[in-house]
Amino acid sequence: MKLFTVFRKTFRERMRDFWLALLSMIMAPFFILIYYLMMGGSSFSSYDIILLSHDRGVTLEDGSTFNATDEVREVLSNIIWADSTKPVLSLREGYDRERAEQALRDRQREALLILDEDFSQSIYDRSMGDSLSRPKITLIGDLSNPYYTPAAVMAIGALDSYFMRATNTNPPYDFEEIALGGSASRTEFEFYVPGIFVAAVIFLLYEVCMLIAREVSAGTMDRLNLTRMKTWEYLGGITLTFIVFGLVQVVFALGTAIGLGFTSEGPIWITFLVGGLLILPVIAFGLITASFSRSESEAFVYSNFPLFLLIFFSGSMFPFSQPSWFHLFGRSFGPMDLLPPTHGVNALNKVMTHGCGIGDIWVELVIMMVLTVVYFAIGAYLFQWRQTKAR
Amino acid sequence: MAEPVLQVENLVKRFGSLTAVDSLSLEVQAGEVFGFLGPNGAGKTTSIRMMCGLLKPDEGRVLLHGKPLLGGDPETTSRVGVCPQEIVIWKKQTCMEQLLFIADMYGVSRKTAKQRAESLLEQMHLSEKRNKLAKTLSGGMQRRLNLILALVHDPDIIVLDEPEAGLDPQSRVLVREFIQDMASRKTVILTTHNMDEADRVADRVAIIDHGKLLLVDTPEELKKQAGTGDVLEISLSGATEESIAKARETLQSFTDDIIVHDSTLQVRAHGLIEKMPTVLETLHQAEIVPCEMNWRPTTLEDVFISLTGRGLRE
Repeated sequence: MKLFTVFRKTFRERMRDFWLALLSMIMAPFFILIYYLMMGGSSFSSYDIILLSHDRGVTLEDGSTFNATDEVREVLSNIIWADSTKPVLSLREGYDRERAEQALRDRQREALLILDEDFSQSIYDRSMGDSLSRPKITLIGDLSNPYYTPAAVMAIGALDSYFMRATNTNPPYDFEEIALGGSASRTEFEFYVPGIFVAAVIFLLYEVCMLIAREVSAGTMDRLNLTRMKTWEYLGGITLTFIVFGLVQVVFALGTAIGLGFTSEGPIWITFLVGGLLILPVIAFGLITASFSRSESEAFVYSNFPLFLLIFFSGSMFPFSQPSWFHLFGRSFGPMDLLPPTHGVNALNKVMTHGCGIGDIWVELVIMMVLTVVYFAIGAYLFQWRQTKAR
Repeated sequence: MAEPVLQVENLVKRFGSLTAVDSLSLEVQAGEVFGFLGPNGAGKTTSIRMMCGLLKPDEGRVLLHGKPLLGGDPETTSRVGVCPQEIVIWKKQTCMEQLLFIADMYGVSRKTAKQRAESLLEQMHLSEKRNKLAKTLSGGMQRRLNLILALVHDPDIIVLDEPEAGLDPQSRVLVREFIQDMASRKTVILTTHNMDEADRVADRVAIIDHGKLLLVDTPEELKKQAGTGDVLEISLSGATEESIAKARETLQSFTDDIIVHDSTLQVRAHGLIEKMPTVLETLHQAEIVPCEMNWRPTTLEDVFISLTGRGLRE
């Protein structure tokens, strides 16, 4: 049968492109492994909630004190994942409101729970039969952060149970939810624009890698290697070209979004700046990939690896929670922070959704620049070693 | 003797278990045309790539103007121009754009580059195509562009890897004349399968096979040393078998290398042209009258076949 003849021929050809076949086959298990490692193995993740209590507590008639905050702390900490001892909510304290909101904007924390001065008093009075007494809690969060909603639901659910148990009444409290920045007024479309914007820039990686691979497979790289051209001159020229094209892409992407009703809470020029800076590490990843590519088809397959990493694990398109490796400048750092787009997405969210200025995103910009330099150095070294030196 | 511009010392290159180039040593003198011959897969291109610094030898070294090629001064290495066997051009650049681009990469000033590019395009009959994208040129034109891309920086040493491959007869003549003209001013290293071309243009010829250098000398000396001799074909059309046998016996006083095809004797010996009167006299005395006689001198191809064998490669 001709069908099987075609199958045999195609299968044989595929197997003779051994590396490409192997890479295609290992791509899925590779990303599952990366995902497993980034998630911190099989452990459950916790939602970080900042508890900011102004509660003064209550001194009872017998001289003892009642502090409802302690009980709230205990209740929230005791929610655990099923079949696990890992808490669902991770309570963080020691913040003032300004720092706490900054942590929310940085997406270092999911929600801020504020208990007012008379929190204990209100609960005590209500438990004593004062039906007019209503404890007040405030929950602040970035509605564009996909982790805010589950964190808020878990916290409110736990508090609900606690109040009913403590006061034996229903409904026992005033609840106020405050949306951080302009996050409440954002449409679903606007929530995803920063991520799509970053993803569009990441797709430049294909072009960088394939352009260089074309130079190698056509033999023109050899021709250039015979000249006095230095590696940095070649890479500089390539980089400059893609910065220009990338910036045009950024302008088009943003222009389209604005034309379709997207509004940025912060200055638009900072958005361009972040987009422009994001082009550089993408080019660096393109260089690294191109160092191993001898043809355009190889470049295409190899590019999928960094592309998947950058898109899936930077939070640009999908929410992603990461384990914390260490803390620096009041921030926790994990594996996702090794990917420059992670910081690009954060910076863009801050500017576009929360109206932040350059002073609020300098940490992200500095980290992006440092990572860019590192990846460029790796890319330039590999490129020189693999493509420009006589071997 | 002129100073060597290129010295190759014990070059070895292995690809896995295959030794592509095995202890290759040779010298190319300034101003000579050096032919580099060998069957397919003999190691010519690998040797050439090492000689111009694109491939790192496993052993040995290449000296250019007395200085090591690898890790050497870019000023020195850029004095080589390489025209690869494959068409290596930027298909989405015009002829002029890519000539100016590559000249700039070699550090040639814009003004000089423009003058050289115009001149080279003119010589290669590509002036009318100067502003056309390379991908729109015919195969022959692309090959000619491929050649002048190696020359726009005015190198001292020009390496031409099969420059006539894939050319139509008109382009072949044009390129051949261009190389001959260039050979009067430059050092040219030429790899080719065209033995006539090598015989005609090369001052010296190296023959390599299985990565080893078999012989290197002038074409004339090679023919004397390794050639199997001139060939004389004597047609005895209509002669009887006895006459043919007698003619063969008579000619054996000159050489044992005689082959009989039907009524034609093919005699092979060194210096046959000088012995021709004696041969004719001997045949006359034996009352043998040839109908037709053809003589051709030993060729470089004969030398090549005798050294590398008749077995097909690649």
